[in-house]
Amino acid sequence: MDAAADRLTLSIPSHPRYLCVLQGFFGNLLASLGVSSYEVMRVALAVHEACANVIAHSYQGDTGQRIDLTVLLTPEALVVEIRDYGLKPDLAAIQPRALQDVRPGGLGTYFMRSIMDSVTYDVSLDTGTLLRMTKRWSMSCTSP
Amino acid sequence: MHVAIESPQPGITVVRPQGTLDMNSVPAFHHVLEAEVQRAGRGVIVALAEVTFMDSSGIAVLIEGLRWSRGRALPYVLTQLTPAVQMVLELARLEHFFTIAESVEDAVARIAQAS
Repeated sequence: MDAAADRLTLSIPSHPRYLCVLQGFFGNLLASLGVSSYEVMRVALAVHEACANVIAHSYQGDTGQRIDLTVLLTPEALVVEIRDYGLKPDLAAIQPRALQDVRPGGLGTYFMRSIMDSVTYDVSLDTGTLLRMTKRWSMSCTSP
Repeated sequence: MHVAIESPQPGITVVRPQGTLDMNSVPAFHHVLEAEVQRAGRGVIVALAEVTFMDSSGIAVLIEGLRWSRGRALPYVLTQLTPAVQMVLELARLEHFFTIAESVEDAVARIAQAS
């Protein structure tokens, strides 16, 4: 995607117990880059929600699958790619619910889109989906 | 996840989840919170001081707790919000949806006043 990017990879089983790994991984990585603790929390939440959606929807709760994450640190942005090999999402159905509709569920997608600058789904792969989320570096989220 | 239960006054229950409140831990917390709402006689306080991370499923169970409490006409108060919890509530724009107290003592006073 970007020849100048530093690239990190992480693979986790599709079990909810391993979602906590993401907080440590992204927390330590972004803090080491000088990102504010507030933005660290937000980005970790967005990635967590994306992987939780993969477990719940793409893998339908099957805990024996794999989620592969690739992190690209470019001069302009943080890019997080989340690859799964499960069911492809119905893109028309992925809509954050209205916030005034206060009820359990449906907030994860809203969080991802609120926190990150872009969220895109590539469903053209033979199997599964590649979700790509981008967060541009800013005052509180500075370039490495 | 560990959940501590306290009763600072008769009929008032303080529920203290500890650690991460997410897809992995929420099913267990859901069970505990529902049982404590059913058991409480005057009000329920959810003290979140020891919650280090919360996701949308954590918010969902807090909303459920409010609904169960409303069903029993019980006051339901959140308190001791950590920055992680505060951030998620603000992101969901739910910080005014819940009754939020500064401390457990403040929450107890609000419930005592209401009952």
